[in-house]
Amino acid sequence: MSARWLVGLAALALLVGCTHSVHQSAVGGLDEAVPRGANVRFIEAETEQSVFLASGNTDFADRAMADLTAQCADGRVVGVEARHSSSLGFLVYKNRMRVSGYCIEGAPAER
Amino acid sequence: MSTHHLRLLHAFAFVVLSTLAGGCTSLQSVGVTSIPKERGRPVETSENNVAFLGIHFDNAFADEVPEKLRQQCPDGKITGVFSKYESTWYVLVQNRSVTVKAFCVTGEGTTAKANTPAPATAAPVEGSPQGGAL
Repeated sequence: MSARWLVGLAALALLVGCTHSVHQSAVGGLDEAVPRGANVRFIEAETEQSVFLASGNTDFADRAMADLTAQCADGRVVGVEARHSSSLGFLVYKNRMRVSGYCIEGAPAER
Repeated sequence: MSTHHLRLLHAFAFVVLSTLAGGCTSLQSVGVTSIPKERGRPVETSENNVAFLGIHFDNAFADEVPEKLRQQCPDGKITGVFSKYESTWYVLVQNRSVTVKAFCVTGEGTTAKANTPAPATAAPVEGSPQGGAL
């Protein structure tokens, strides 16, 4: 394989975004007890931020948490996991925040 | 290098510099806890620290964050904490920032004592100059 082919493959990989990385995975609220008879359902939310060279804020993280909270309007959310990752491209990249948790509804004296 | 190429290079450099001058923000870390059902009183606070060339002399800038949250919720319990630590570069200057969002839950069993632990009092040591009965 010639050097020109290798350069072409590398350029193609950069153009389509070949590098994905997870920066952090944070977990909280796993020590909460689930009341007997409560309705438990898994919820998740994911937000993206498309960036050219540099981003100006990290609002995508706040939006992910707000989306998750909105999915459990009448209950509390436990076992929350937040995963921050990014996908790199050529001069551009995408930031992603994926948050998930368990919505507990229908239990007396929830807090 | 031809004049055309030089102009393209200058245009690209201008785009890069103007983008960086607007601030290059990156999320460093997040923290989450369970989210309560009662979300009527959201609380939020933020602290930041600016340094030339990113040379910071201490990391105490965020120490007041918990106390600032407590002040916003003196009669309740702070839960549903979402914290994030981000840094922003403005060419030669770095700004570090810690932002915390949470909910203040008031009700039974969530008094001010829940957020303001009583100061610890050391037990007197017998035989010491300050200890024993006065």
